[in-house]
Amino acid sequence: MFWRHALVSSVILASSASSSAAAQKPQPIIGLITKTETNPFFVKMKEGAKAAATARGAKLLSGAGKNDGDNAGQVTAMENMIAAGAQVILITVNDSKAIIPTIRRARANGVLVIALDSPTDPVTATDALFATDNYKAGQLIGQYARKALGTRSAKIATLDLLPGHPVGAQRHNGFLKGFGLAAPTASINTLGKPAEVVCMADSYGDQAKGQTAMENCLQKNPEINVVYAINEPTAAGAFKALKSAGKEKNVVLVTVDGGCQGVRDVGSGAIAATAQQYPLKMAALGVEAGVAFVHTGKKPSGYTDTGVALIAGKAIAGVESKDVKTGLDLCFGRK
Amino acid sequence: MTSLKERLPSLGFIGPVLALLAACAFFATQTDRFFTGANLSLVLQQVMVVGVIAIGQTLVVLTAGVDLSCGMVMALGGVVMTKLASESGVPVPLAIASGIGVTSLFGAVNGLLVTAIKLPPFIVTLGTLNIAFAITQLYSGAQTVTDIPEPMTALGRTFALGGTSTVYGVVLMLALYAVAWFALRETASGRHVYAVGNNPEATRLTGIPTHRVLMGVYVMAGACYGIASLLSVARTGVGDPNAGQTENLDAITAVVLGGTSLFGGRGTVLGSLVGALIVGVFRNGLTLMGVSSVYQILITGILVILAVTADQLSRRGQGGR
Amino acid sequence: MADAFTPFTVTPHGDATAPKLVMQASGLVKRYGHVTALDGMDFELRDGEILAVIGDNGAGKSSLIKALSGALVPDSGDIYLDGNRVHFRKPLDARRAGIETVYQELAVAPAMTIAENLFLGRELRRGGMLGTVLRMLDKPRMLRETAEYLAELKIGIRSMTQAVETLSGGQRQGVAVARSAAFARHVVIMDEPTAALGVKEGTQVLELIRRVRDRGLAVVLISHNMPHVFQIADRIHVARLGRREAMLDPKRVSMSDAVAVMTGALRGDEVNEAASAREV
Repeated sequence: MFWRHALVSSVILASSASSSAAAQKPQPIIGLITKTETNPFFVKMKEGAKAAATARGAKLLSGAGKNDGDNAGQVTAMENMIAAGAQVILITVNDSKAIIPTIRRARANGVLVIALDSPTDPVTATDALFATDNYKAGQLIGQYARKALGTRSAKIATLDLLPGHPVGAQRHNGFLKGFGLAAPTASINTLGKPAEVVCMADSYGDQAKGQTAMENCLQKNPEINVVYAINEPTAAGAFKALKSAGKEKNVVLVTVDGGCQGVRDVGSGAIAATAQQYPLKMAALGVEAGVAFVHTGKKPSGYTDTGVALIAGKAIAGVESKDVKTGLDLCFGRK
Repeated sequence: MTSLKERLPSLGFIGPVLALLAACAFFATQTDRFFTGANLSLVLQQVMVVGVIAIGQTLVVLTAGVDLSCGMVMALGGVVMTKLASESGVPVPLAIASGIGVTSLFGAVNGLLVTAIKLPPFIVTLGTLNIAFAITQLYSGAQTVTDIPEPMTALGRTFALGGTSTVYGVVLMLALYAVAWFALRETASGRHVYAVGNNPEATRLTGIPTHRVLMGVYVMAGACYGIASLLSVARTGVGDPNAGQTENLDAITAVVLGGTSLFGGRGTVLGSLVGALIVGVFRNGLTLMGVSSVYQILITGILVILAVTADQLSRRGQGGR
Repeated sequence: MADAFTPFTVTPHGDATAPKLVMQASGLVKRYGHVTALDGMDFELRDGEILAVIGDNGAGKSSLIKALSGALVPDSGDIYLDGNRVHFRKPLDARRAGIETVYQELAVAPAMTIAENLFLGRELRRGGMLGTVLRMLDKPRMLRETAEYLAELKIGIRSMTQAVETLSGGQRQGVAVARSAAFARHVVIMDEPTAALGVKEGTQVLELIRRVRDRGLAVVLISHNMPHVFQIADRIHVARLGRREAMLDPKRVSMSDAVAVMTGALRGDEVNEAASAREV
């Protein structure tokens, strides 16, 4: 009789133990929504997320907008992922305002939402933000450019993104600050224009438009000796224009991103320096925070700087930088 | 016995030319860096790609259609020809021909959908725009193609002209405009394009094979986008899968500013060159003046409305529809 | 004995005593599902005459005209041109046979010039290399010939380089008629030529039609305008219920009689017999 009781009790104990173990460790389902599918920056982010998820026994769902700026696609992706049981959403938002109602609904249902790379507006609409400090990125390349210019008096051209874009403003103003000029603070969305900036033109982040913008700036002021470009395709276009005008040797060209093509351009000397961002780290941190949330209920909060490093072809005293080889190891895109 | 009126360019063309001259005069007074040979030559190079796309777009708009896929198809052509040449080792002329072949094929698809399935061109080209974009991204792996064999960028080489220099691509653009102008004005096929746009039913009733005319228009437009992609590769030195994102609207703007009616049947192809130059001049001039590019966008928008209004008013005055 | 308004039976090559027939049709049938557009329609057109085709809506006049101009292929029945059997599968076939049509909507491109419209689809090229290799149009010649065609029909338009949309309704009709007359070899078909015009311009177009006939072309016209029909037609073909109800002579029957035959209130042979009786 005792043994029968013991058998039944132990079976009951065992089953309740395993079910409570299961209750304590549900598989985290994490949804990653990027701006687009194909931009190498986001391809890298997805890789990092997948690796981190596998390492922690989490399941990764992924989706994206159709193109840069596609909010509706991201809304649909988020709704589908939550319906599929995602407890955590990591998102690089296409539209910092339009996505907010969807995020609010998700959070009201207990889903953790973390913004990666691009903040929402207001930034508190998500539980947390893991992103590059674009202002700091600008500062790094600004400092480098100032030192690389040496004693020459600066005549700066800025090839910006487009009017009113926060990331464009942060990089531009950070660059000015790092260069040692009067500059707006990180929260301002308008572009600073001290006297040393002799030309400002928009490139929309596009290589061909960057080339046109640089050509026109050189027409305006042939003595330009420093060029800040919003991203690496723009810088590539600017370099072509400088080369056609025979000015590529005397101009310090700096930019932001850290994609593999851009780092190669630093290696070849087309770009003097670039500030490298780490989409893989953003994704990995996001997955880690998500898993922690699912297991312990602990939510991340505030802004976490995912780091930015200066990759320079030539090291300069007084400015910390990494070399091209390191940059190539850490870059996103095709190596 | 051709009257003088028959030989003079129509009023629809004079308006855009005056606008262009006025813009040039304005910028010449605002900055002495505008009216130099080097700067003007630069503007020509900057409008070279959109200029050639606009030739194809003009053909389509003359038939009362619109081609939204032009920019993306151009990007596809550029990626195809550069990838074939740099990564697959295809000889440069064959790679270029392949790129133009692919863009012409897209034109044929557009034409088929418009003529055989009778879908509105706006919808058709909206669809092919997306398809071309997706194929470009997939084929290129979203990576810009660099390391292009030097001969492929030959059209980007400069040569001396007068006191300044220009690139061979500009010469090609001007030559293409001359060919298009002649064909549209002086050949039966060209007049049939106008007729199809002006009154497709009448054209059919007079025995002209309207489907063949439309197919020809869309395929030729596709070929233009292919040539434009070669010029883009020559100018930037790369095959960029993200090129051409705004070129469809830029080309339509050039066509409209040039006086061609979106309702079809009226306009000139040379007007599109003027339209493209107007946009290029404003972009260049405002940068030289240090004015924010937002104003360039604003002015372009105002000019487009003025151009369409002028077209409408002139037709009302003539008792047209 | 055959006279002006008794229909002939088909005479493939004509006989010496009968007026020459430039076009004939017998037993034309066309059905669309349950709807019968032509139910054994006969037709004849004499050389050099102006024949008006009248009939109520659905009587088959449009379908008849379309069959003659190649825009419709009959299910059965024959069409003869100059005594020879013809099969038109598309409008171009009829055009090539020398039959031109002036459509009710005129089929002109309004933004293009008079000369361009006249030669639309039939443009003239320059001689030599310019024409064959470069395929360049001979615009001076087209302008000249357009002016000649219009002058021949006494259409008073000064400049051949005017856009058609700047012309009045009557002038536009004139251009369309001139185009057909210029290229027709046997027959000009006109669909409601005066329908959209005011009194003065309508009368001018009637004059124009007479001049076309005077050039040696036979004219078939559809019209709802009875006064115009009676002013201009040599004979009247009345269509009813997909068949030819009667041939009437406008000089011998009245307008109200014609309308009565059209609507079926009177029969065609009754009206003609009454007319003959009056003349005796």
